[in-house]
Amino acid sequence: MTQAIIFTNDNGGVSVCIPTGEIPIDQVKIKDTPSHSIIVQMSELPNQHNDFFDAWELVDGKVTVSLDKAKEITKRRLRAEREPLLAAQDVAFQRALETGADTKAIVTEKARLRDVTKLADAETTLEGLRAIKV
Amino acid sequence: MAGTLTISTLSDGTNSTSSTNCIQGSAKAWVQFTGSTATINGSYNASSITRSAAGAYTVNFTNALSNANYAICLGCSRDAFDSAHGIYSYIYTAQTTSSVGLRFYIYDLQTDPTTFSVSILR
Repeated sequence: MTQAIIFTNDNGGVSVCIPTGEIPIDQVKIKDTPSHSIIVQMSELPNQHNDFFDAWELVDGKVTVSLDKAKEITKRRLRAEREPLLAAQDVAFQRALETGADTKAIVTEKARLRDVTKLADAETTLEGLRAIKV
Repeated sequence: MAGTLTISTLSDGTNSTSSTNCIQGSAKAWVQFTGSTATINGSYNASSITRSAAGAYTVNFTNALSNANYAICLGCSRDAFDSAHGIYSYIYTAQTTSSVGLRFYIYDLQTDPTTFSVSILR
């Protein structure tokens, strides 16, 4: 069974130390991790939620996923995904102004892109957060 | 078999090279791992990889290097990324004789590469 060494890091998240196998895991724990670290089976970690790794928290020896932190991660993802789309809408808006074309659809789309991060606040599950797309 | 062979030049009968090229020019440590899990796919003189956040890793050396003035070669792959966004990696923490911290980004989003390769030369 594959093992890992985990500990709460300075940011309040969980650090996962994976030994390469060159030396025994007990030696790795002493050499490469702080004294409060613990050895766990990899199967004990919530690897199905690896996309929310920065939301992992270590509580009483168990790793859980913070929904509030997962929401912030989702917002960061959405901001990055919408950035080129907003830029494209800005260009389209400018061109519409220059040609006197209707800007209503562009304004609506820009507002939708700006508000897309608000969708994360309303979600109550990790699956729901994962499903939000720009 | 234990023992030491002291030579200044290596030769195959046709080509030769200074043994210094082998000693100074070979990697003192290397590792290749999967970014999202820190699963090690191959290594030499690396005891572990610590993943402290998405795209944030520390490479720990099995045997400490003689000093911290080593060169680091980084290679990253990413299966899916928006071509409008650049990807880059860099040395995040001060190099020490026992470890070095690394980061990977797409645009301004710290995230996991598909694979991360690190070679240490000195």
